[in-house]
Amino acid sequence: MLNRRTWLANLHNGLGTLALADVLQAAGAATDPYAPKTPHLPRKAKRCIFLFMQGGVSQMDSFEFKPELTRLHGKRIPGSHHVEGELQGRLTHAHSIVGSPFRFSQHGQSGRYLSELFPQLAGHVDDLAFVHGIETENPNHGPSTLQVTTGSQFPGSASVGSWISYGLGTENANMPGYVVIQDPRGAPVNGGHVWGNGYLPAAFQGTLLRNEGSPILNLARPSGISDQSQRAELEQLRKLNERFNEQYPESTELEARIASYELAFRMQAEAPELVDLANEPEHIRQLYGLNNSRTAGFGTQCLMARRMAESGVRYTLLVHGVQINANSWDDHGDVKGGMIRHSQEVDQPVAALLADLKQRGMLEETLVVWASEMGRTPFVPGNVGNKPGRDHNKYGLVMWMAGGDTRGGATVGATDDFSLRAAGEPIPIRDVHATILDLMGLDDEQLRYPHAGRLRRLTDIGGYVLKDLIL
Amino acid sequence: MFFRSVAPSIVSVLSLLIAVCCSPDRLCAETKSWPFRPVSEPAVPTTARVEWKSNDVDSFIQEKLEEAGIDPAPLAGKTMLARRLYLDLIGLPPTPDELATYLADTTPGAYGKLVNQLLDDPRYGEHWARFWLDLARYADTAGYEGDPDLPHAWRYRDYVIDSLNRDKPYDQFIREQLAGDELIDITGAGELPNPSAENLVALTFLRLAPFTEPRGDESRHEMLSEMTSTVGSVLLGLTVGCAKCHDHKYDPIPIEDFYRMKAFFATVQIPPPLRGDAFQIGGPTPTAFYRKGEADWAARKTQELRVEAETAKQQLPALVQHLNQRLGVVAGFGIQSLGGDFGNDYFFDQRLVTDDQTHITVVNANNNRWVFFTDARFSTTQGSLAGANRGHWYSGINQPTYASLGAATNGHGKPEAAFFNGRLAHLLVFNRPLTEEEIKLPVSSLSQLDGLRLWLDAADLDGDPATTNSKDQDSSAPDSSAQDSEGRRKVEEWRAKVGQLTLRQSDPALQPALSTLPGADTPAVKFEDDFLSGDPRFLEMLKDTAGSVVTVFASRDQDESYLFEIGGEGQFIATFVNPTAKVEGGVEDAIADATDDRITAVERRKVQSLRNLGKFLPQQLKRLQPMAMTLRHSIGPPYEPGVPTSRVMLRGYWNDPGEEVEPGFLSAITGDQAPAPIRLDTFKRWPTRSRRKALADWIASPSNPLTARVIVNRLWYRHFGRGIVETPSDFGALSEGPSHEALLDYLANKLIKNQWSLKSIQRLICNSSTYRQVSVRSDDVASQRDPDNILLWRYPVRRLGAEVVRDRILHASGRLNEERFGLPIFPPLPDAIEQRVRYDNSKWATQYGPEGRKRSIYIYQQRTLNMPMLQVFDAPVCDQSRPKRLESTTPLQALALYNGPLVTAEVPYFADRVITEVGGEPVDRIGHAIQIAWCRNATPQEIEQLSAHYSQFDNDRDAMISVCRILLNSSEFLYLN
Repeated sequence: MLNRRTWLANLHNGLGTLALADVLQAAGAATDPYAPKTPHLPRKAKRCIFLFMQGGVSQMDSFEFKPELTRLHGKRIPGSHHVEGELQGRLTHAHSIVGSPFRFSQHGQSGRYLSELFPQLAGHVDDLAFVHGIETENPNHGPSTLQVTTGSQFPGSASVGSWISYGLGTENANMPGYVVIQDPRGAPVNGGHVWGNGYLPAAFQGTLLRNEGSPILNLARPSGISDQSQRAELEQLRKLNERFNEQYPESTELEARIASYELAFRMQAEAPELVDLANEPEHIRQLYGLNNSRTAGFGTQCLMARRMAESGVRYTLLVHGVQINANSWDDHGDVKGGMIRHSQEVDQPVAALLADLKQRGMLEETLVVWASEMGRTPFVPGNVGNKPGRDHNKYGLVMWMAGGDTRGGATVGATDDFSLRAAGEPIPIRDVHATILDLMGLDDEQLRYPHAGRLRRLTDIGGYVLKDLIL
Repeated sequence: MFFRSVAPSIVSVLSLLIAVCCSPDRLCAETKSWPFRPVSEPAVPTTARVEWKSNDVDSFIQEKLEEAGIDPAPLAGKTMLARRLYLDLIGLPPTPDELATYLADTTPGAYGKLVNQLLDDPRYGEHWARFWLDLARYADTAGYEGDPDLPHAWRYRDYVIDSLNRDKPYDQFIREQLAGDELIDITGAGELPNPSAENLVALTFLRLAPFTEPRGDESRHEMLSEMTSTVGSVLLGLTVGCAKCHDHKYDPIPIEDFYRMKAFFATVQIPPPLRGDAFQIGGPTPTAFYRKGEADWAARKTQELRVEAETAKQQLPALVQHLNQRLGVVAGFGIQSLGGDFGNDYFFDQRLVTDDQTHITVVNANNNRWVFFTDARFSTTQGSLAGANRGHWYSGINQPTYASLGAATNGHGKPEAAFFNGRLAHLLVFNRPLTEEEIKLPVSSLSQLDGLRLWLDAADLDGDPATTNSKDQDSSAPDSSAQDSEGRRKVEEWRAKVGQLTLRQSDPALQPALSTLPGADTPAVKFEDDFLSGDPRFLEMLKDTAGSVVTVFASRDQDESYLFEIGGEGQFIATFVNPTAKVEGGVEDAIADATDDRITAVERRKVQSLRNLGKFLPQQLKRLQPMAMTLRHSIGPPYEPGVPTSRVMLRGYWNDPGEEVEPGFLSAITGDQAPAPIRLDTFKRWPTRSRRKALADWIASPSNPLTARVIVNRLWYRHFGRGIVETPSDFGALSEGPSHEALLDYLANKLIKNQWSLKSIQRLICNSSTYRQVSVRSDDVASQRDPDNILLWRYPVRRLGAEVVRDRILHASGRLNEERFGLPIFPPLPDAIEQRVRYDNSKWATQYGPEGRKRSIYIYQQRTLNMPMLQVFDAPVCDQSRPKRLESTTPLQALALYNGPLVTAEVPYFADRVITEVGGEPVDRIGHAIQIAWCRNATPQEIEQLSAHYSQFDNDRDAMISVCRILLNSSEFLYLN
């Protein structure tokens, strides 16, 4: 594996600069939000790639094999006249079970059942650890998306990536610690809230990577300014700022401002190179499916994520799917057609990402998480009809993780025979978040930030680490 | 489950102790701890250095400094103080002239006069409203899915600016926002009285939380809980919301108290959504414009926007056509398919079709081979779509479930927002491929050919009389006489049009019916079920491996387009004319790519803004209606459910009711949990009325120990960057308590005595020596004993807020538009990011003109799109009440200031302004620029340094631009000192 420090050093050869962290540290470590911090726990993962599938992935057409649904296709859910909770109103009305139209078969040493929609991911099944029966609090897209990405269904909380970059700082001080690559077709529900820093300092917000042009907002010099004239101006600026700072020798913040300009312009040099996929060899481009119009979109996102991980970006959020329409996993109608389409867009890229990380020896240090905002119902209202779809099910979210200290092949939680609700104790999303933090070496108890009269944390009231998922 | 989730910690043990010590039944007046004990009237301390003191505030500060053995700092010079006061009180620096005027005033009271002058300046409200709007979680959209617009929320913003400028007594400010609809008593017949417009707008405060489409009791529970928490933290400085799920862990607020307080809000109702609202989040209430001249302004603005809308409508097509012709690339006549065997997007034969001629596309299928023609020219790609066709004639769609005419659905049968405003269209379906000779026939002959199954003539689909097609020769369109003044198709009207479509079939028995798509409020054509699936012959046609689809267009205008789509199972094939479709190398690329120099930046912006205006202006017009996004009192039975019994909701769950509670005040303050006295109306017709008024009266009472303390602390925090209580929205046990308890009470008392005048407190603060101290001071004793300057031994240096940074830049360039109040503004965003996060065109139509350069307080607060320039400088997306602004320093700030579009756009104006205002000597120019940016005279050293830099340039303007950019990036520009 490429040594990151060497790589960085190479990258900056010729610029003759110190790592910004050093500059900032010299200026007073307290003012540098990006300074790397020591994790609470000894864990292998140094970074995280979070794959978010917008719309609500149908669990019984992907990762949950429920033959009972096929058997009862077209019938009511047994005992559904007497149900409570969110599903009540829907289940007491006429509805019909929809069996999965897809074949399931066992894969890998673990013998886990996967549907035929994920043939390539199936090759990595022994690396994946699954969580079933995750429950969110609200079955609408907006709140549930926020709950999975920020821990709270209400806007204004800090996202998982913000917490992790807050807790760990950044490895590569010349790039933002938290990068977001959204679906080229558009933004997810809630837009920037999904990667918002909430009450954490702005330094920990996700930086949206642009698909074209300059990858980070405001990265390109204004037209008409050459590299040389920029350097000259910055030199003048540094002199003026230093003179101003002389009056306030105790202000580390003013020192940090000078340093921030140096970092900004190093970012200017590094970031464009980092997102330039032209350097990738043909076999890698093919691996991620960049040559196929169906997989090119998410394939590009996944390949970019690998490059981010390689350069030391702490947290990369990939979003597949946009605001609720045919390009999201929200298959209220024709779940068969929809699932074929969505899975074809992501199966190869995700498998490629895992394979590529593995072949570079990076999977050990990279936690990969697959998530959606909710599961779907095993039934359709009324009759099955021509092209049955599935509705929202806040009790049926499935997530998986891979890499780092994840115990490949493990499974935690389960749903009942109908994929309707958790069998036994449901798993709240905060438990999954606590587990992600743990896998990143962060202790949910210790990772806190004061806000509105409380020491806030990602899991709010605290989550239980799902220990069975961890080696 | 709950206990499982709460991990044990020292904190909870601690809280147990606190709960025991502070349980409400043990509270009585003399044992009440701060902050629950009444505001005292502290004596003003006597301090040693009387000559330093300007007013009583200083005595309290000095007392603490003396205790610590620290001397206060000398007072700053006049120039520095003027700059500080301007930036602090009005959020803008003094101009060189304003500064000179002040410096010229050498009378003893000059400083005090400046304080008064700035407090009376209307720009004061525009700056200070920000602190209240942060607390009020003000935004112009609701957040969540679709981030729907709250079209009248801006009136609340203006209400706050106006109230602060008028120095509305704070107690009244509270009453209006909590109970604006209950301030007038019921008289006469007992009908609910009409509250004043101002009070109705004020009530918007309660409704500003992010909100998504309600789901019954759960949403209501969350909505009222949020009101309770926000009112508790904003007005009382207590984290009441922590008691939603369990007794407060640190403060004496039992869970019952949360629900007793929540019960005050149980009477509110959100007005129903307006007809046509895409998201059902509730509508506005008619509320007149009340400020002097506001109604006239609205009428005038409405007229202006109407004209603008009309002009935009006419300009866009002409401009696009003009650009298209210049580029020699033209758009969108073709075939597109997606999904399944059809492969992905495939465009075919893109060229100009808006030439008023008739054009046809033919898709011929013959034994699974696809051949395309346009105007009898063969396609260059033959045989497949996207080169991956294993498909069959329509068999890729095993069972087409829909067909859509006039609206694209992209494969899922639900028409999307982008309409295809087809003017003339024929669709002909044959059950055999057409021969080359046939393809060359005129349309009229084509329709007579054998083998025709269906002929659909969708004339004048857009329903706009301005684009009738009477002059098209081969149109068999019926007379179109529908009037639609806005040119928008409403479904009813469209239905009428559908009825006029000519549908012909070789077999009259197979005449298809047309309707809108079920559940969709937008026009499309759907073949009724029995036509689609009920007739084997039609099914057979759709499954044919041989056949032909012919579409015919004639368009005069660039904004006219046409589409026919058939699909199912997520797959579709569409034939269309869409002049605005994205075409490789076309005008759309040139518009999207800011570096494409084939069109100018002005042209690019012009097209973008004209395009947005079509939806944006109607939304602006909606905002100008006399409405408010306010609340109303429940009408109750028989019209709607009565106000339900209030209960404790166990663990905060919406569906886990516990004991019944009556509206009541916090027992930590009152000492008991008795129900609140609520004055019933004399007619007893509204038994639940006046609840919120009772709460407001209790909060806004001089005897409430928290209200006055909390607000004076907020003011102090904004003036010094640090509160007397460091957590302005939490005076509870988790706060560190007040650094100057007596001072806090002194100020609270003053506020109440001064009829709750906020400005009177600010006047006191600004006139104090404490406030006037220098910021530059090295004092080893002080640094050692009080490194964080909590005791205020110098004026604290801090970074300016995001809004002030933006406003200052525009102020420096001389381009700040100082127009006050009014509609939200939409300033330019970098790299057109609004395009990527918006959900419809009505949201953000960038204003490149003076409107977009109004002060930052007027910027549209879109919850899903925080303006990057402000966001990097720590402006929050206001989803929750924000008591403080963070002050981070990041490289993204450097990028935003150095490379970002705002500074880049403004520096040339800044430079030109300097060149115009002073003489030709570089030294004078540099000096003047420094005066503008730093509000002081340049030092010789600075002049020397920048003159050397200046001299590197070939021409003065470039040199000046460079100097100006450096100044706008400097720390001295960004910091208040």
